[in-house]
Amino acid sequence: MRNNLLKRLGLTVFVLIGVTLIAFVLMRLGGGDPAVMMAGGMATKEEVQDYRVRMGLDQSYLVQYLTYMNGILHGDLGYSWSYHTSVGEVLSVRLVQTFNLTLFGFFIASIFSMLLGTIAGIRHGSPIDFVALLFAIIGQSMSIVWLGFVLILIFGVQLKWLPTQGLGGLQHMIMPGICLGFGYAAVQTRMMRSGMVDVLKEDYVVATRARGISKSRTYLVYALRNALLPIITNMGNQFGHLLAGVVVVETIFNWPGIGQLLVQAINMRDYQLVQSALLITSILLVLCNLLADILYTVVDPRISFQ
Amino acid sequence: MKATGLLEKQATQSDQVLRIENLHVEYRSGGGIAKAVNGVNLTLHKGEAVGLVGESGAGKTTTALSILNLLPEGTGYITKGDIWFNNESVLKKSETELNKMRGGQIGMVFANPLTSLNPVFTIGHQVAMVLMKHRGIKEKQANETVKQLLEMVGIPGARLNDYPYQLSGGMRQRVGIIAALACSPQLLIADEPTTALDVTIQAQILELMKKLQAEYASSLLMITHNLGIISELCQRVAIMYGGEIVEYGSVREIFTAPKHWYTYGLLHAIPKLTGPRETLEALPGLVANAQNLPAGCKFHERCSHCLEKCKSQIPPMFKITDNHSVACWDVEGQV
Repeated sequence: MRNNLLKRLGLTVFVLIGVTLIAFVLMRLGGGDPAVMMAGGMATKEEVQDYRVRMGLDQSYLVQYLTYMNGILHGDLGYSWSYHTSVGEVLSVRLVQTFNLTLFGFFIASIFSMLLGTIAGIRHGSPIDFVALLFAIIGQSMSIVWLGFVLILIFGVQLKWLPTQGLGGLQHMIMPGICLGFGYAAVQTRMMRSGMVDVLKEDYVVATRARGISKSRTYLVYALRNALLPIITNMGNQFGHLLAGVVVVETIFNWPGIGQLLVQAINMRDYQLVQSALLITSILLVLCNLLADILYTVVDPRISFQ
Repeated sequence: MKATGLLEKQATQSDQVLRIENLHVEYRSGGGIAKAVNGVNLTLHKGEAVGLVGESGAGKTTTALSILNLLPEGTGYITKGDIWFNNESVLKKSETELNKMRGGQIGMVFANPLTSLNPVFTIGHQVAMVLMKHRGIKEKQANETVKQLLEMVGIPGARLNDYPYQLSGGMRQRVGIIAALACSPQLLIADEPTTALDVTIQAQILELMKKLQAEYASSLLMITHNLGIISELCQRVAIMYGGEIVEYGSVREIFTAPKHWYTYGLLHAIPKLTGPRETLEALPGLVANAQNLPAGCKFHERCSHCLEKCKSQIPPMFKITDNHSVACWDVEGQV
């Protein structure tokens, strides 16, 4: 098992190199001149050229890429032109905020969807099942941007229950967390529901009942574990979608995380900041998928890394 | 000549374990109603082995699930009749009482060992859960018993931590059998326990069931469409068709002198190894459709000896001997 894990980790190195390459190319294809941005609108041609040399942009693309990669391999994520400090420093502060928000959204959405999906699956055909299906359809088709503004309008502006912007206590996290986890919760609810419906049709559920195990225990101990299998793998995949949603949600709720940072950095043509932010996000995603796979082998004895 | 009552007579006897009285079961879904069981009467005595035979869709499994009161919720309904286990109505039992009965007093072996064991729990746990529930012991103690049970059916005790996928089909069915017998139930229901297995394994499983039934002195309700199994294991046999028992009696009488044309057809659909070569007589037509049952005798559309009466009137049980009764108008004059 360990060998296979190492092999998978080895393969992800290539994925990550690909990510740096794509980020590097995309930024250069995006147009705009970082030297102009840095020097300001009033700068003379000479001043801009001066900046360009200082930023290393006068060198060939190949040299620029290799210089950047050389830094990465030495643990240096580069230098942020707009923040005038190392990328590592900027990212570490922002990552914590994104991590808090994503985890919070992921957590409440997971709990909510598992509960709703399980109940809907057990009582399938009932009104609560209908509500769950409706939620799944709405949740999957709703735009995060629209949901964010509606939430702000209702709970922030009209009812004044929750703060709409920035950092703070737990109450600051509620709206962005819900907004972030909404689509994910919808997908998981639907999967949990159909998983439960399928499992409850299985012979071994009747067999368990025929051994005198009570209905609730059969459902919650012996059927739930089977129904959870697809949910757990999907968690890893969906975490990536959550990270993508972070860009929008953090911008709407002015949350100082990596998503908001990424938008600012792209606007500022802060090449190395963008490249490294994407690299770190990709590493997180890969780790999440790996974690989901490991979790899978724990829940389902039939699956191993062999 | 009166329609009777072999079963009624026995209803007064005290050693009866199970009595099914005029059981009617319907499945309702999507606007359609399927009448799966239509007035089944059956009695099982202590230590007795009774076979329930019929084609797929005859209502055998539905009858079995009704005994445990485990029909699929929201679709399966017992509309008439009653089931008595130890002279207590199964249908009037509370859920707690039912759970005590299921697995504790009535064990059930399912048809497909590949799907009736939970894939994500160890086989040991799936046997131990019965003991934990009905004996009130902890898993650690239960595991000792599970090991003995496994060894008894020829599986090394150390394999209790294996998952079902690590076992062959025959081994899985043996696990299903010991899970059903773990608490020495008074009644064992075996729902086609060998259908999903290889022929060679089938014989082993039957041997095992025969041995265990004798050892545990439990009554056995053997559901099957394999008449060979019945002659091997059972003293009495009930032939089921269209949700009704059409012929009932001792295995010897029914196998040598079947009175119902359906039973006759079933027996003649088995190839003989001795004697001259004959063409196999297959029963024409399809099993009666539970959603649209024919009037009169359910079998009349497929019967080669169909009378005018058969098309409109349901035949009652005619008693042929003390050990044999049949629901067929054709025997009316003979009795």
